[in-house]
Amino acid sequence: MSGLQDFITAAEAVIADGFQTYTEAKAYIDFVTGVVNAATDPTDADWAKQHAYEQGELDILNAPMGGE
Amino acid sequence: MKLLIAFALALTLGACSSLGTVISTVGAATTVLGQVQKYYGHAPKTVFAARAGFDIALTAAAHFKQDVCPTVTSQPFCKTVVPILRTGAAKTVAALDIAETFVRTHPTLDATAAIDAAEAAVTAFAKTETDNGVPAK
Repeated sequence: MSGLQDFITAAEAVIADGFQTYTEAKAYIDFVTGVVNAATDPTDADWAKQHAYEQGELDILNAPMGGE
Repeated sequence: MKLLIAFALALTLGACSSLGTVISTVGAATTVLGQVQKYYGHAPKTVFAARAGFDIALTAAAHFKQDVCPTVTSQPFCKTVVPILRTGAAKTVAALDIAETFVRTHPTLDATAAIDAAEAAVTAFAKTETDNGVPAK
């Protein structure tokens, strides 16, 4: 379960860091909570929404730094 | 040491966030963990939650890069740390993709190995972050 515990640790890090797009991360956490609480498996739309959020963050991380 | 001081300052500044908002978010995250533990063995949700854990860790890494390392020379460590985070993220995505494909294609088969590998990848990514100074808590 360590990977799942990391979810909590990382979510707390996001909060502690207090960065400007916090509301986006909060909305994502709420979304995940809803999916996990649902009685059914994640739908194709749920997976797609997860991938979209993830890709947005990957785009930020992978965008060239100035001078790179 | 300078890196640690910089992050201590960042955390202090971050403390200005609304306490109520912080508490509600921690509550939401805790609910996720509780529910996933309840459903452990339910492969699709386990992978979904593990992927969410990575996504939050990734969020921290992405904004660390954006805020602390907007340019290669913003800090002495940017040139080396950001590529490490990028590589770690790519490896984790690959492991999560394998696990996700497995549970979505074979929802009734034992996915323990794929899930364990995905969770190990998420844990490794989080460790990479903390080892390189991305605020962990």
